[in-house]
Amino acid sequence: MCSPVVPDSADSPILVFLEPLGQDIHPASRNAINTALGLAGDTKRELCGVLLTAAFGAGQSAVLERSGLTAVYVFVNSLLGNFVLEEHLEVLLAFVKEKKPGVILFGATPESRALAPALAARLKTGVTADCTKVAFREDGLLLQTRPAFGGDVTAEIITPWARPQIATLRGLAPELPRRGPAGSKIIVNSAKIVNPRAQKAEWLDRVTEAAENAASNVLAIGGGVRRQEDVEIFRRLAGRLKAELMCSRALVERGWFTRQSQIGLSGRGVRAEALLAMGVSGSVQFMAGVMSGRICAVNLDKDAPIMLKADVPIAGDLYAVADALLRCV
Amino acid sequence: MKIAVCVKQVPSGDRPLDPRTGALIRAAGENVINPWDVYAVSAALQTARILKGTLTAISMGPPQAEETLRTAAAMGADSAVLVCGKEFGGADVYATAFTLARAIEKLGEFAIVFCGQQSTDGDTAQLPFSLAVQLGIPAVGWVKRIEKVSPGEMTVLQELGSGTQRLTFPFPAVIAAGMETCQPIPPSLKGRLKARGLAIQTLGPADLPCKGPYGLNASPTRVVKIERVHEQAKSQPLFLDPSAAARKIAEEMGVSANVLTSSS
Repeated sequence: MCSPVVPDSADSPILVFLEPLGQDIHPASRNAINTALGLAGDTKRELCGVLLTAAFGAGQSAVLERSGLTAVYVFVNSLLGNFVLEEHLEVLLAFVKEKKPGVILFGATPESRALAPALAARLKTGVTADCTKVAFREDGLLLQTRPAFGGDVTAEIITPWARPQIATLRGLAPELPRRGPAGSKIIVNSAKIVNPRAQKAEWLDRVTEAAENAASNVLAIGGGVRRQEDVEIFRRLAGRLKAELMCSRALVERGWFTRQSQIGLSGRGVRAEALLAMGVSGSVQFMAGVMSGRICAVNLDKDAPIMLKADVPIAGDLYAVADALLRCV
Repeated sequence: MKIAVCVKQVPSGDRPLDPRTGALIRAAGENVINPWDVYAVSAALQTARILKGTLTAISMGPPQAEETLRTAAAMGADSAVLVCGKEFGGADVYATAFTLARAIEKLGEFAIVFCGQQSTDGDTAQLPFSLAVQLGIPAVGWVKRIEKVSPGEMTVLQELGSGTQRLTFPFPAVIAAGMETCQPIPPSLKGRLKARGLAIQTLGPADLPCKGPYGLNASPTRVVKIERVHEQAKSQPLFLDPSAAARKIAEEMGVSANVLTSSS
């Protein structure tokens, strides 16, 4: 158990696991590419990406050619259009065994958060989940920093002997840094899936748009809204504020909104000029979807996480404030 | 048909740190069953009822984790197993899943192993996936609803990043339940009485089919530093009456506001 399954050296590649999103690349993957570019910095390591997809389109190709990665390996198989963990794992594991990366970075989508620990278990290595920072130490080990215990502490974690060193990264990036003309090699292969699936999978709804919203004002409501009929109050308010009405995950789980309206890691990213968050606690997952803009928050709990992050944190009842707003705007 | 559910004892509350010292609070009486596991136990019980199976609750932890197993038994689990030994301590996700997998193998063939999708203390959401691989069976994660259970297979909805997926899969499998999977089943009075007298089986390292290493020695990752975060508030909270709050918000959102009379 103490000898690495996949050997590592100072110049073994850094691999970024990439996920498609419709015709684009998932913002969580773009964030992982940006992090990897910073990490590769002046090391001699090759920086490559791997994408598993049912169909590889020109849109994805155009984004990836300019990604700054040395090479992107694309594996295509119609079975990969659904997420059956074992099929993705089979394709990824075969590639990792051949490519022998020293570091693998994943975004923090549910799919990646399933695949990373499954891959790690097959390779008898570890994963540091939801890292906010990764950097090489002087001894060449990857220092992986993640928040723990509700964000009250940060833990620094290393993977001393097992390889590869694997981390999932929190955060969504709106775009990739400009890297000049197309430079990444794109290598497209058909993916071999030897074990036929015993599972039957189908999508009920599918997020296909690049998860970004550039409305100038956004009104986000969350778990503080008590009844479904109250959503109408906030819909009216959004109209008056010339804002798009969006929500936190809590309201999608209650079935009041679809995920197209959800801000956060499992929803969409927003780049608004101003975001008004009413009754939203402001979890790390939610905040990952807030890419820019001034934040006003209204929350009964003056200690809610969103109150620390807001430019204008207002401690108060969202219904009373909504009512006052509807009378004055 | 045998069904298992993995449960974990966690410190109660969202923020289980001593506000003055930053130390983890592990005092007696302040530990609870991981909130996600309540849904895993409930989903496992419903499944066991439909399949006329038995439910075994399994926990790896210190002796006081027995309390968490008794909570699962009070909810309706038929038997409980504590995987306990100082050799298991200091385990990361991989090593925890390794120990649980060996314990589950020791206990026999389970058709389904339920887990909570994540715990409130570790918060990685990785264990069910690592456990499934180390048991050599498929993992079905991010489950938000169980649509159908029949003797050989099950249909669930999974909440994934790229959409909601309906998955039908045969047994055996590890299922990771989210908090929307089902209504939690509260412990009954009868269940509590039964749980109080339940004999809990204990498995130590010597009882498992593999010599180890276990715990910290089997963990590929190491925590090298823990630092308390003092997150500075970007701005101090404003305590405004509703109309003043409304004017402030209107200004921030770039919308003109009528001046309200003092009565409002």
